[in-house]
Amino acid sequence: MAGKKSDKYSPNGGGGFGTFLYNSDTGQVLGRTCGSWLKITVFYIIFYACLAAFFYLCYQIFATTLERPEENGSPKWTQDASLIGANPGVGFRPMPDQDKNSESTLIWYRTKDPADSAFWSDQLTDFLNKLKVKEGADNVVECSVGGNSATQKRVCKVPTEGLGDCTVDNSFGYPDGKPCVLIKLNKIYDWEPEPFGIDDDTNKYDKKLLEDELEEKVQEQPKGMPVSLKNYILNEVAKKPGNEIEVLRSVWLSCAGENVGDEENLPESSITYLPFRGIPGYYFPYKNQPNYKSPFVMVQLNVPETSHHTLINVECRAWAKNVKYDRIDRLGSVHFEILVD
Amino acid sequence: MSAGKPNMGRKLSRKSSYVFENGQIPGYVHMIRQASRTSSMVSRTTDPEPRESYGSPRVSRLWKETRQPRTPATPEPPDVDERTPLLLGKTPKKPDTRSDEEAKAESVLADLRKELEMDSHKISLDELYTRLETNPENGLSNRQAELHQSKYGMNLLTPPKETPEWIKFARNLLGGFAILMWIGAFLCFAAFAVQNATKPDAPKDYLYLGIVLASVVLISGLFSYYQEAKSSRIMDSFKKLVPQHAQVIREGSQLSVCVTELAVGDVVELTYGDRIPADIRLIESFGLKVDNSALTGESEAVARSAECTHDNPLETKNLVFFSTSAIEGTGKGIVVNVGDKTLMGRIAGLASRLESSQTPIAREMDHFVHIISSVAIFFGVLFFIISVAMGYSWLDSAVFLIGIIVANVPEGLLATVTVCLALTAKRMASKNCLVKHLEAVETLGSVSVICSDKTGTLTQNKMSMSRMWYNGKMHAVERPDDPDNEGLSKIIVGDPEFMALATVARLCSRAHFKVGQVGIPDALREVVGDATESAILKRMETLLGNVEQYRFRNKKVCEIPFNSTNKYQASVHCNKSDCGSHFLLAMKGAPEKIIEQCSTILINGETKELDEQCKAEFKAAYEELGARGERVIGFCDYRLPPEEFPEGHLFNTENPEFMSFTFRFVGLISLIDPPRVNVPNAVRTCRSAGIKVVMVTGDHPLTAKAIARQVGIISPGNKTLDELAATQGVPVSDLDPSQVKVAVIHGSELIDMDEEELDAIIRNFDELVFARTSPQQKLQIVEGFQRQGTCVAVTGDGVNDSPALKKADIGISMGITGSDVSKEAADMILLDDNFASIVTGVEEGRLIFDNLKKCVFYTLTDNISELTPFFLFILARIPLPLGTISILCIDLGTDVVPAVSLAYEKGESDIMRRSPRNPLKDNLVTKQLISYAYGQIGMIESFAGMLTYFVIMSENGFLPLKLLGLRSQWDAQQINDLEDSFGQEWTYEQRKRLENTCSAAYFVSIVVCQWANLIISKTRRVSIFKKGMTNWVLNFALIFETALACVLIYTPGMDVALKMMPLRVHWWLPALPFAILIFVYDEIRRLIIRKFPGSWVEEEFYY
Repeated sequence: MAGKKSDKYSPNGGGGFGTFLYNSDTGQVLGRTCGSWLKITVFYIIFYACLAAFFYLCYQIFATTLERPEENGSPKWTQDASLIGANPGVGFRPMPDQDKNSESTLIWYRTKDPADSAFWSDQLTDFLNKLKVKEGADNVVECSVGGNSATQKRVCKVPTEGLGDCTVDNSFGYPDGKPCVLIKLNKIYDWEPEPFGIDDDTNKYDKKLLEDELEEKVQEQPKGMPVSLKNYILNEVAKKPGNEIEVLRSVWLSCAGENVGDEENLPESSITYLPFRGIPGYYFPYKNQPNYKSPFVMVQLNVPETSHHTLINVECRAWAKNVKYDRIDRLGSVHFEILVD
Repeated sequence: MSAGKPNMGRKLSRKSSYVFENGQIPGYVHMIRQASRTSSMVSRTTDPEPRESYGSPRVSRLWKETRQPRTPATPEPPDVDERTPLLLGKTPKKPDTRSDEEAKAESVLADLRKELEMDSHKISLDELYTRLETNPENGLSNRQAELHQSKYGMNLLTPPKETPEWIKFARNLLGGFAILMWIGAFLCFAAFAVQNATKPDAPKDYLYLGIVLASVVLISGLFSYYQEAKSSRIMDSFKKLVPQHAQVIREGSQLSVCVTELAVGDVVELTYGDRIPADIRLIESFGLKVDNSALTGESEAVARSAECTHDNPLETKNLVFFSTSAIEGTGKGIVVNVGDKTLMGRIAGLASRLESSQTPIAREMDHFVHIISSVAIFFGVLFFIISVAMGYSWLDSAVFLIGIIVANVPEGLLATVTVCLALTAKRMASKNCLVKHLEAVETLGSVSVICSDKTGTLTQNKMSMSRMWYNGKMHAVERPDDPDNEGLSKIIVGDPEFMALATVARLCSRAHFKVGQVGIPDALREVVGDATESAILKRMETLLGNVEQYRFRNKKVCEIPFNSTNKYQASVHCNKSDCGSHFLLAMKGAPEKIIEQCSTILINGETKELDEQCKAEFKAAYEELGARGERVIGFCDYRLPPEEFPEGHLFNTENPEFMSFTFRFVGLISLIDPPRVNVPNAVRTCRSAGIKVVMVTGDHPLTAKAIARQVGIISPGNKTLDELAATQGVPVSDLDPSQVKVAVIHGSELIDMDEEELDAIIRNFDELVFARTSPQQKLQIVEGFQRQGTCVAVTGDGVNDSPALKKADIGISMGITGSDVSKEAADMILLDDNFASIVTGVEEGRLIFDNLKKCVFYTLTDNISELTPFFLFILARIPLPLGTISILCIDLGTDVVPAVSLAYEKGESDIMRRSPRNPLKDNLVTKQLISYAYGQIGMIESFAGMLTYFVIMSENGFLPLKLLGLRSQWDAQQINDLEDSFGQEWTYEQRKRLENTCSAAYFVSIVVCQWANLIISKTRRVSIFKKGMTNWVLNFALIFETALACVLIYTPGMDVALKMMPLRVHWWLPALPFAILIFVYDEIRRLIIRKFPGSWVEEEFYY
């Protein structure tokens, strides 16, 4: 009898799902009459409208504490106060098609297939086109070491010349099996690189200190600064006497095969940095200035013929005293693979 | 001794069959009681038409047809006639509702529902010996014994088939939300497996989440399995009742045999102190008395003899039953039934085979799980389809599904409910209600009918003197101020009439106090003797004091003990008096016997002729007391003439010469088992709480009715049909049965009823008393009430009650007098045996239902705020505002203690003044609750969470409009330079850190809103300002919840363990306006509900 009885207790008094959908006796649809549905619907419309209005009001009140990005405002929190932190990431172009595979970082093309090359080179063309200075952008200036640099209002022009083989005309070297990859540093509001070799107390350039600090970086485990970069920095500093600090304010760049095998497939000598092996300090700080364009370095990978049809892991690292490196968190570095068929 | 009804056999023999039909124990309980009653020389008066006083008209008519003509001048115990219709009874129809596969189990059960059928007690001994191939001197041969063992089975109770433990365990792992959680866990593992296969260093998030989900299911499954395993040990206690060894005669020699080895036909010797090893027909009895309390709950010694005194095996004196105990004398008998075929075996089998029905709260929880699961599956499938249609990958869609399932299932709620119930159970235990199954805590609150046993529960289970009739007047012994005793005279100690009665009462008695009880109040002193005499002795001691000394001074010189033919007891005492007489004869017995023996009566201090008027007065008094269901004893005395009985006269007890005299009548004393003091109040409370209290007793209808009136089960003004007919002086058949609301139904009437008739009675009468009911009938009554959709509580203490206890929605056994079996069958035990404790239980049960409702509301509310992030994540393609782990932190973390604290809420209004909830309508989870929790409060919380999310995103650079449609880039691991509104570029890790911070903040917003939600959950109707914040557990929970949230987000390492990030203090604030909104909004809702009862708002949003 227990079984029979439980029916009596069943909520909604039985009747089945069909009756619930439409009850011909009471004219109820889904357990309510039409009038009842109307009432409850109207109530909920009003309720949600009021709630949304309250929400909007609350957000607007909060929004008064924010600066507006289109008025070159600053985010409420910057650098370490913000969750972005004070350690920029590194980005690269061209990127694989996200719609096809959102997790891939593989640049893969067939040299013989022009459409393949075009897919990649077109991205770079677009990117460079965006760097062109807009009409009437009067705050864009030519900057140089010892010359102009970015300020609160003023920004530096990002040169699209002097890129060697990495030009639009050359299709960025893709058809030749010498693809160019654009490496850029993430913009972080108000962030400036901290130069190597500057004495904290005196704020003066100290050659010995520079050499020590660079050597320290070279010795870093697991992977330190390439000796070539150290020499490059020392060389660049030596080229601009008197402007050492300006030169050192750059964020230096090194790209290399990620593992030993990758290094063998892509020797250091086959990597060329254009126009400069780093991002000069005059582009910093980024302060959401109008017409600010991201500076970049073109890295041409002259993939040896022997390394064709081989996947090569490449890691590019940014170097400055305040750029921390974490391979897992992708801090201060970027990783991509290249496969030239 | 109840052989005082020798005509019974004749009447019964009209029915040629000796087989007792289904459904009828014509009150074997009664028989046992009756036997003890007559042993104290008491009989009952009945009014000339005893039938009229109880029962429905239909039954009365039925009875009239079958009734034997008799002379009204000789009133006899009504039960003789009452049994007659029993044997004419038809078999109650069995409901034909079982499916085929259940048919076999059903037939066993149906068989057990029938009464014991046997003739072994009626056939001649020689026939019995032949049938059982045994011999009274030599017993069975060993070979025969073995043969019988294989033929009739061993003397063991077979335990019912038990569900294997692993199936029980598996059920727990798959019940409730478990299936959904398993699906969630499975999806997690699948997602992890896919990720792992496609990528070398796949994040282990989904693996961990899957493990967490699976552990939650496993732990809660283990928890409920443990709860379940604690119950259902019925057979164990039956086993405990089985005696170890029995003295058996086999092959001519006596040996001690293990009880399980006992075979049908064995000759068994019984000695006092033994447990009866099987159902045994006595062939010899030397003053054997048995205690049938294991069967009946009434612990009075009942004499057994070798004669068959009744056709009914349950009433006859020559049968003793398995697992009762012999307390006096010795005897010898033949085993006629063993094991499951014994009376006890059948009751045990019935009790253990009955399915106990699902508790109301379990039904409610099932309903609730059903709703929530449906919602979860609906949303899950809907969004799975939407996301696939929107072009998300299968993996992504599966991941969304996980989120939706986790958000929808209140993981902690079932455990919370269990904890709430356990807390209440603990509280109830401190109020003398021991709850065996946690769910029974609430069942008591849903109860709409209480079927209460009389003896021991409503009454004190001890006889006490109620009234004395002497000097032509009725006197109240106790509580003269009681309204019940209105118009009665007070006893004045010292009145010559009273002293005369008291003298007889003190002297003519075999009861005496146990020695060595000094300084104990009279009422508590232990007495040796039967219940009636003990009650008189105690009362006399209280009224006059020093009974022992008085007896010593008036030495007993001669005694005629009670015998059932004479129905009196007399003694002669040395008692010098002025008139020179040395001897005083004191006599007591059945009043009609005593009055026959008298020629004079003591009125106003003078001995007067017992004329017709006096006799009429006597008769009126006798009937009045009888109508009250009291046990009445008549007293008379006589001074033996000194001429014939000089000092030192030797009396001949065999043939007493003084019995040729006529005596002086001194009065009547009536006794009753009085109701417990607080029972009338408790019954009143029950009634005002809309609970019907029904008395179901094995006792006599008159007694039952009298007690029912005294405790208020029958309200003072209400009359039964028969009483109404008597007052109006019209025949019963002329009255409209619908006029009356009271009925006293006799067990014998029940036998004739089919289900519809019983249902009609249950529906039509408000006040019901069932008397003379058998265990099977108790079961029938309970089922009758359950068919009406009511939730039935049954109280009882004997083994005979256990089937009804088991069947009832909540069986309540007695902690002190209850038999072990009844305790096992019950769901709850009243430690103080007091009916009034049930009221406490009902109150607690109702409160916990209300509080569980609040608890469920509180917990369900944030489900929607956990769900909205996913909706927006999928539909608006914003980065995920609330992570799955954070959801678990809410459901299994911060929500738990506040939800439990709601169990400590006090009632809102007087919960004992409203009707029991309607199990069909007043569900735990109603559509109003869902609508209000999900549609309104939950949505407000969602908005609060989303505001916090947008605030943090904005402050860090992502303005709301930027976020729309950003999801795929946001979640793309290879994008290391995602631009925000301010042109800053974020790496994947930086974005995830921001996302986790948002998730933590969303979590905090829910916590903040849940503060308000907890406060509004405290009350469903009254204002919180009226209710106050005096629930300190709840106040603590508010602080605890907050502290826990702080620990979760601020403890170092939590960013890795739970993806929780520390928050700026002001990120706690965006939710505050919404918390205030929740509080104000709900105050307004409650105000409208209070001000406009029945309004649309109440209809839609009062849960």
